[in-house]
Amino acid sequence: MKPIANELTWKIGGEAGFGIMSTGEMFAKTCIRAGLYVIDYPEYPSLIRGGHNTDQVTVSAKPLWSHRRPVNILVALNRETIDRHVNELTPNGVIVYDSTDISFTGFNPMDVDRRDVHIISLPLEDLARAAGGQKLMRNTVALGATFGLLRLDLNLPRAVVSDTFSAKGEAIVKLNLGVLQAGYDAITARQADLFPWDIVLQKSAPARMLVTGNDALAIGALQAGCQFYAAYPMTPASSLLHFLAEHGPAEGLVVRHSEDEIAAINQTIGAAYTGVRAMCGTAGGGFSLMTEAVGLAGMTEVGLVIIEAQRGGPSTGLPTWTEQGDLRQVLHASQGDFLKIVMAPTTPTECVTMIQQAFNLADRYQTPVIVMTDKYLAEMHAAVDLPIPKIPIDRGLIASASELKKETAFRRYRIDSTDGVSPRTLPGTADGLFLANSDEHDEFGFSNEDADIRLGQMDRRERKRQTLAASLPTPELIGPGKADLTIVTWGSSYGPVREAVQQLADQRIATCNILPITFINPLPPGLGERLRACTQTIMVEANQSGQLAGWIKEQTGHDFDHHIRRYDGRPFDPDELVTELQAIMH
Amino acid sequence: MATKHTIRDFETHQTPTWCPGCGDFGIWTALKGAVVELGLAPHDLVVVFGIGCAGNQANFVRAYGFHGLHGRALPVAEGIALANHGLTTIVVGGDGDGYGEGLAHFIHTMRANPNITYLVHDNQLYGLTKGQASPTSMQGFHTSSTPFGNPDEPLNPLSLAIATDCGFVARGFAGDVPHLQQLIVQGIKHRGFSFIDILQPCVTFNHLNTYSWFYERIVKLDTLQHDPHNRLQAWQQATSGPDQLPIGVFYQADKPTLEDRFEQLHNGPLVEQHSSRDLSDLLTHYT
Repeated sequence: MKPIANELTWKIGGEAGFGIMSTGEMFAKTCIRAGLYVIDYPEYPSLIRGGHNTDQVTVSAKPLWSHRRPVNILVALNRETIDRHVNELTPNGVIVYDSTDISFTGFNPMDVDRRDVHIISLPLEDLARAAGGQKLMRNTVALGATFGLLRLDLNLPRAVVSDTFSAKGEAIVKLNLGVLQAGYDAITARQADLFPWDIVLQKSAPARMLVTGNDALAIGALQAGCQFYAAYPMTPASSLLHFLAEHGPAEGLVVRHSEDEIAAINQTIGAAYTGVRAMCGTAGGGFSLMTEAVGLAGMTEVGLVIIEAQRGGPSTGLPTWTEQGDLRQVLHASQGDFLKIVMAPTTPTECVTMIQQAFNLADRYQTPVIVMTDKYLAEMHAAVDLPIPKIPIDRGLIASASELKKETAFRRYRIDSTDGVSPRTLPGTADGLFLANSDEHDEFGFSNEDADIRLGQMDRRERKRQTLAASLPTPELIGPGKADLTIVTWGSSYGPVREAVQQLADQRIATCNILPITFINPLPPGLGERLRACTQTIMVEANQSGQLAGWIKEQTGHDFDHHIRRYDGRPFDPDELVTELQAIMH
Repeated sequence: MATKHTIRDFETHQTPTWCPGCGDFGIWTALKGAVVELGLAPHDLVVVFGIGCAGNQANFVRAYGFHGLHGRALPVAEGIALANHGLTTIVVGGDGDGYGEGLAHFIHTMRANPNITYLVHDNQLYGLTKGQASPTSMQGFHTSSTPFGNPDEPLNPLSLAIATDCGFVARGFAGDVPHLQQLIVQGIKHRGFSFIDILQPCVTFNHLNTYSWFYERIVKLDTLQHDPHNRLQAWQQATSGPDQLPIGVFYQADKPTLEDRFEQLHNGPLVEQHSSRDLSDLLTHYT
């Protein structure tokens, strides 16, 4: 047994095309099967070949909320990885580098300005070839070496490698198992002893899966009975399309890769109008194109779910980096006043449940529901407990045959609806004909510009917002009821905030609690009162102008005492947040 | 059991708002006649409309209607066709709507080939916004947006459709309702995407392409020994204007529809399928 069990961060770096991400996934999956919690954080530029890529995987026996920056093992497939990340290593950390890579020609480990870390030179390519493999497999050699350092029995990694390559045939599996073993054997007992961290199997841990935020949304959508998904590829939403395109057909889901985002959302509206649960997904730029149709769904009262995965803007911006800068465009999407429900899950686990809730709200309130994520959440891999929660499906109000028989003509948009929602029919239903009309319309859907009809319909649609707002749960503080500081945040920023608050508590520096805003429109009832009762409040969000802080001020009158904002494309770092929060409180 | 539906069954109580003499009346009449002839019931018919004078027909056709955005009717209809291919889906749009704002959707919907019939009211200008030039306006045409003459060459929607290998390409004339009605019947019967461009005089704003202008030029393809299965001939006829404007079916080819290509739709419309799922097998891939 080593001094520190099940608490470490492993990082691999190299050029795009080196298999960085797949190696990270295999490492993470092994840790999941060992019964541990895992969060990975990949970084890559908007390139297919070349450019610096990294994946870092944080592992813990306790629930994890975000990646952690201090690295314990750094696997360097090229020299740039050492140059860029050597300062992230903890004392007694290890660098494993590929001495056969051309970038290390003339490299002297003594030149690395860290006397407190161990540097292990391994000829990864030679080891791969000696085991019958090729250069491309040096990442698997490095994976074997990692487990050698961690002194984890190779059975678990072997199973993960087998499952990963099984589709490529027995021969490829065998080769990869061979090079995995070669990497494992290349680590000497002394090298392993010098490294104080290890992984110990947690026998009683519940089953968990390793999924990204996008995977989690897709899984939740399938659980909710989604039958139609349309999208145009755009980072960081693309992997949601890939997941559903691959697994959808077997689940009876129709997936359209549309010609553009405008087509994607209009197709989704058509499918939803017809009666199936339908969803489209995109990033900020694609959502800009969808904007007009968001209003169409609001006006015709077709419920659908839209995923908006944010990245750094404006314009093409930072395609592969994170930001929470699209909130205002989503809140204000499309002309005129109408209800857009806006939700923001904080973790992959919450993605699974919140998307199911989103479909229920879309059907119940017959309006677009926008679920916002960002690159950090959409592409991080995290452990999600199994089995996944199943939220009962609520298709909202659909007029029954007997109700339809009573009327000479179906009034789809009844102004007298007290809660604002008027029952719908599905095309094909006898006696249920109506016109879904983007023009203002009367109760049957026919175009109508009379002032009293206009007011009647506008006010009825507004009543849907009031009904929903009143039904939302009051905001719940995470942590102690009384705290020195209340941190309000949203989306993926919740993870690093939660890690930072834990550190502040563990080190007895300060007592903080957190108020994550998951319902952004409408905001939960009583939010203003709740915030005003706090000692001090701070908003932590990943954009330049404080978009959520401004929205809360507008809606509740509450002014935050402090702000921490980040818009360099990187997610918040828990350690940096600890420092910043300490500075604010002293 | 099935009661025969009449023209009246496909009319709402709304009074058409088109100008007296507008070609839209003829198209509306032909459409109603076609669906009656085919024995359809109003609740089995979905008509998706674009925005413009053509789209205003949404208020006058009694069926499940969807009056969408300018230029975006086709993707809505494709979503409907995929979600419930048991319905008959027709799209009604205009030349500004479908050849201007929504041209990309037109091309891509032809590539996809969903079972939709697309009727384009082609009056060579924008009627509802008071007479500006459209993508099919003739070069030199004077309008409020082109007071010194339209600088652009007109789009030829027929040759575009033939080049894209659309499976049903036809042109009708709003002034010949019985002929147009037969084209719509054939279009609805055709499995896949059926495109019908409809020449339509705008009596208020278009004083160039008038009824008499069209009568002088229109000729029925039936009288020209045209073979609609011959793509090259179709191309020649489609590009024969502007002094001769053939109407009829230019090109027809049978091919699988978009719905055919989704195996999950072979057992019936998506909307009628159960969507409760057991994901445990799928999720084991991620453990």
